[in-house]
Amino acid sequence: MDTKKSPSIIAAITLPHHNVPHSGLAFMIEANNEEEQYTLMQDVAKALKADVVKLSNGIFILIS
Amino acid sequence: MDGKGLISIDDLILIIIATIMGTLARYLTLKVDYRQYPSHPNGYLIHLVLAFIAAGIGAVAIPAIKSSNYTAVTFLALAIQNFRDVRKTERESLKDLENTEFTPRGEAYIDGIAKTFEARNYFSLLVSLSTAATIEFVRGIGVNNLAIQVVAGIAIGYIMYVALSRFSKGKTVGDIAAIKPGQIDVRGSELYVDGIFVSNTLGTENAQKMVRAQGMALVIEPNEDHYRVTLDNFGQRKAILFEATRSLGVKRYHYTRKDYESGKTIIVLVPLIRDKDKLINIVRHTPLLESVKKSPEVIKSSILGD
Repeated sequence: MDTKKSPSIIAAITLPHHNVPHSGLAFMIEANNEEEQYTLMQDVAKALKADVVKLSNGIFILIS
Repeated sequence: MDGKGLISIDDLILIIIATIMGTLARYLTLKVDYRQYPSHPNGYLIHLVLAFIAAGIGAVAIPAIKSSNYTAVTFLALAIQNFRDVRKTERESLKDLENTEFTPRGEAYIDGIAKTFEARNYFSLLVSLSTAATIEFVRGIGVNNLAIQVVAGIAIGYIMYVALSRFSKGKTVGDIAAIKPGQIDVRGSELYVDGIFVSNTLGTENAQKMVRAQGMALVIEPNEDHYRVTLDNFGQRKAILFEATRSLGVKRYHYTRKDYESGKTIIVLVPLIRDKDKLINIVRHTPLLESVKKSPEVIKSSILGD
C-alpha cells in the first residue's frame, strides 16, 4: 500500500539531566556526557541506517 | 473467408498487411529512453508479441464480418481481456520492483505506466483494424489493383497511428513549471534550499558534510498558481524523485518538500552522478500523471498536435 509514511522514532540518546518518562517503542540510551552521547548516536545511526534529529534540548532522536 | 474453406489470397494479404501495421505501430511507440522502461531485450519482446496478437485480432475482424461470421467478432472482447491482463501484469511487475529501486515509483506512477501499456495495445488493434477496413473498402469500391489497396491501407493505418500517438501524448513537468537549481544551505542539522526549510534530519556531521558538499537541489515553480494542485500531489512528487534517483543514483539522502507560501516544490538528493543539467532535464521530462491532472489546460490533448 502506497501511503505517506510517517517517520517513527526508533531510538533516543539522552543525557543524565534529561527526563523522559515514557519512551513508547523507542529504544532509549542514556549517555554519561555529550561526547559519549554523540558517539553513541553515530553508532546506533550507522547500525540502523537512521536519520538523526538533534532536539533543541540536546536529545538526539533517530528516525526511520 | 466463409469459415469453411481455405482462406483466399486477398484475405491473407489483408490480414498480413494489417497485422504488420498494427505490430509496427506498437514497435514505434516502444522507446527506450533514460527511463529504461520497458527493459531490453525481454521487456521489448513481450510487448511486441502482445502487440502482434492484438494486431492479429484487429486484422481478422474485417474478413470475419465480411463472411457474415458475426460471432467471430466477439473475440474482440477477448482482446479487451488480454489488454486488461497487460495492465495487470505491468502493475504487478512494477510493484514487485518497488523495494529494489532507490526510491519507490509510487502507486500513482505505476498506475499511469500500466494504463499506458494497455492503451498502446489498443493502438495495435485500431491501426490494424483501420488498415484492414481500408483495404477491404478500396477493394469493395472496385479498385482491383492489389498495390493500390495495400498502399491505401498503409496510409490510413499510418494516419490512425499518428492521430492516436498525438491524442495519447501526455504532458510533462516542464510544460507546467520552471525548474531551476536551488542553493543548499545546511544550518546545524537543518537543511534549507533557497531559504526554504526542507528537513532537520541532518543530525550527524557526516550527513551535514555530505549534503553540503555533494547534495543537489532543484526548485520547481509552477507557471500558474492552479498547477500547484498537480505538482504538490504526493504521487507526482514521488514520480519526480523516482526519475531523478533512478537516472543519477542516490548515495544516501533524498527529500521532497512543498512550500505552501510560494507554491514551490523542492527536491534535494545526494546523487551518485553529479550532473546538474541532466537532473534538470530528467525532472523537466517527468510525465504528469494522469491520475493527478486536475486543471483543464493540462488535461487537454490535441490530435493535431500543439
